Amino acid sequence: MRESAHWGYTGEEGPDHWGKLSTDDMACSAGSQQSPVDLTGAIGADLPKIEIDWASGPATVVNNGHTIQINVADDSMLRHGADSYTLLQFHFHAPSEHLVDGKAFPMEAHFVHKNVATGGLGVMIQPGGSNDSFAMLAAKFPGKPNAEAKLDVDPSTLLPGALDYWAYAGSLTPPPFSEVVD
Amino acid sequence: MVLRKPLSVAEVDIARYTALYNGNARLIQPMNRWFLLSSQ
Repeated sequence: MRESAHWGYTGEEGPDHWGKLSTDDMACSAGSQQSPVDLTGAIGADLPKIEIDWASGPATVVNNGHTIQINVADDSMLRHGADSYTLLQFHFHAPSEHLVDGKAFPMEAHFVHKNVATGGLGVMIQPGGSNDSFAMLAAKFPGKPNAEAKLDVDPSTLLPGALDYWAYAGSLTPPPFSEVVD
Repeated sequence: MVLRKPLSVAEVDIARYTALYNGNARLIQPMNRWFLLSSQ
């Protein structure tokens, strides 16, 4: 995520003002394929399977002032049809940014990948049961902005058992909102 | 892409996140693209 412009989720730096932060953020107010959306009324389609080949390894957990972001090594891949994407980082939102049939989940994880386009994979998070990897991460969440922690993480353990998905052409959800997300 | 099945985690771990960030979600945007598709 870009750090140069000041933005937030409330007040003068909040969503109503994001399109005016800089010319880089014009897609926020002028774009036509912005994310997130309400995931409802999807059309069933013969879409390629998501193939996850994420590696376990050292990661950096950063409190960047907007969220908790986990930066990973560049050896984790997601394949989708003919496209391959390298996992860069994942981060969280609370509540979820996407809605499902009009309802938000308590949290949403965004796994951010890159090739020519950005490959975004969203995972809704709900209470119930426990997940050892998420618990380990949560115990390391740095409490103050710009603080960070190191740990080993296997991102694939932060996925549910099934990889069925919704797909649409979207955008980054924080500034600069670029409409380049597959 | 968004997975249809959610990940279940302990409520106490969600609380660890929301103690730091609660309300850092952009509001939903108009669904004016062509299709929302669902894998089968």
